[in-house]
Amino acid sequence: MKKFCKIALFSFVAILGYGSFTYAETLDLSNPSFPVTANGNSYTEMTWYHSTSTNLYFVTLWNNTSGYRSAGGGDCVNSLAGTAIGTSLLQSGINSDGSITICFNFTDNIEYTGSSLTAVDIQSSSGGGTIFLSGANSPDAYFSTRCIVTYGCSGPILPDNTTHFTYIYPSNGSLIATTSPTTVGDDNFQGACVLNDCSNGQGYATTTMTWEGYVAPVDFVASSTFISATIAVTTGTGFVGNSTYLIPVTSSGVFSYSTTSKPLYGGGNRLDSHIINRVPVSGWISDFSCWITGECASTVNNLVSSTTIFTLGSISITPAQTLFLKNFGTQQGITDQLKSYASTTDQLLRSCNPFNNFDISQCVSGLIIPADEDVTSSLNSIKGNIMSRAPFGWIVRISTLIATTSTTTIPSISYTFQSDSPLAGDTLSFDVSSYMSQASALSGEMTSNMPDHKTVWEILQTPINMFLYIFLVYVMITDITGINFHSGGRKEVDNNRLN
Amino acid sequence: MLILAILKLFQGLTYVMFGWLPDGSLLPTFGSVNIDTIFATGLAYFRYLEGIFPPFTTIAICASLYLGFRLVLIIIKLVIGSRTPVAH
Repeated sequence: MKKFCKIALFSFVAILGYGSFTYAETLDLSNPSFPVTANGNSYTEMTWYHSTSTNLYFVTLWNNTSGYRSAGGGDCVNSLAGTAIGTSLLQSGINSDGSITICFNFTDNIEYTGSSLTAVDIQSSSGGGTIFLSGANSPDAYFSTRCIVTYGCSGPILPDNTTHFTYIYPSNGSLIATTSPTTVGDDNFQGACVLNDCSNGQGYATTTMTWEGYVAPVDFVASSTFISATIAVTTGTGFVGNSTYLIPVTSSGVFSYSTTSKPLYGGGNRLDSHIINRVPVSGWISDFSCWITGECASTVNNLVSSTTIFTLGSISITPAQTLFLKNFGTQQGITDQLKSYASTTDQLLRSCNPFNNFDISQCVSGLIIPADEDVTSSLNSIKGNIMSRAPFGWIVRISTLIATTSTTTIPSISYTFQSDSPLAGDTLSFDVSSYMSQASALSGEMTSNMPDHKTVWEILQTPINMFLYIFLVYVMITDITGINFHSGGRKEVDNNRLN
Repeated sequence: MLILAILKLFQGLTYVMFGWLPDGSLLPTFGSVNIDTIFATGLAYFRYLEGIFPPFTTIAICASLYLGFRLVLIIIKLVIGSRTPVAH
């Protein structure tokens, strides 16, 4: 009996440990809450159950929404009571019955597609309430809302500490206008910074530019006013001419925030890509240094591209939010994610609630056997804790760089004679590619007059390889035996050799 | 949940043990010398040369073989010391 009591107490405490993150929401897998428009209004509601000030987040899906809503009309008549976050949010207010109405601002002649996540900082001291989402004058609107809150209406919170982008806007390949500046001298610049493959933080920044320069890792930084994150560009990349280049970037480490800026789990976070146009300083010393190290003495023109708006999937976001944001392009996607969520640990633990949906088998299963996603998340966090820190992180970094297949064109070296030289104004240049490349004019276009028309390299490849391998064998024999063929005999042997 | 709790505990322990270490996602920078950039650029140049200059691959293979060979010699010398039956 005593033992049973201990087990019962332990289980109770264990449940309470997660039970402090109470939940009061049932997922309807067959209907992921897409209210159908009625009379030009779409409408849905959520209820929360906690009285303290907290943040409330909800997802809204737009599907071919068009129309507008005039400010101050309809349901949006109450004064602001919470801090509304979100570009499309018009106003919100607490109603007399404790509920909050949120209205979205639809601009005329603009069609809304896609989705948005809105966060509302609830300052209500009431013991809970209901949120109403309304999008009047939007005849084709479909809302899908999801309450994600620290306390109250969402499921138990299992922090996902992995750093990754869970939602990126705009979609990959979109080109956004450069914020500042758009031109430097005679060079035009179009910048776009779009990350994709949100699941693991991998992504690409797309940059189109018509000037010469390159992007180094330090050039890709997060906006200091919103968020900072370690963004690693895999390699410095050269740009010449009008070209589009994909810069592989990854996020790593833990996102951090300034003391004056809260993390926004909505669309407010942004990432700036600072593309630096380096105009090399002329002179053979700087050119040589640039050629050797890739770090050119230069005049720096800092171009800040437009930003990528993204949603975070770390810190204390619930799995529900992560699941939603991973794939909420389609209704089917939402349904699939909900089904996936139903098998997670916290969902299983709902079966332990003696007052709602109690299921002993699922409860025990949830207590003992963690869901695959939770285990994976924890193991990834452990891996991140160890392998992202020095010196292990350096080893990983070196391995990553070695495994990378990208190349960088070796810049040509040029020197312009100064005015005091008899050759003033003339330029000497040396382009490695022109002379060494097997496709160059020197070696690629010179072919044998034999029927096979082999190129220079095809002819020379075999004898050169033979020479190199024979030379290697010669050096090895010299090292082992001490025989130096140059001196015509055996080198003097180490005194200790025969001891 | 019990297993998950153990995992979370281990996760916290690893954070305590390694969290204080400096970020290692990039190679360090000493003053104005950015080792990460230099290493990444150097490797990119290396791969570029490999692509355009056919003998470069053979040279790289020979260099690797020779370095390995020298490493074996060093190990032999460390193991059997002055009785090493080699000249160097």
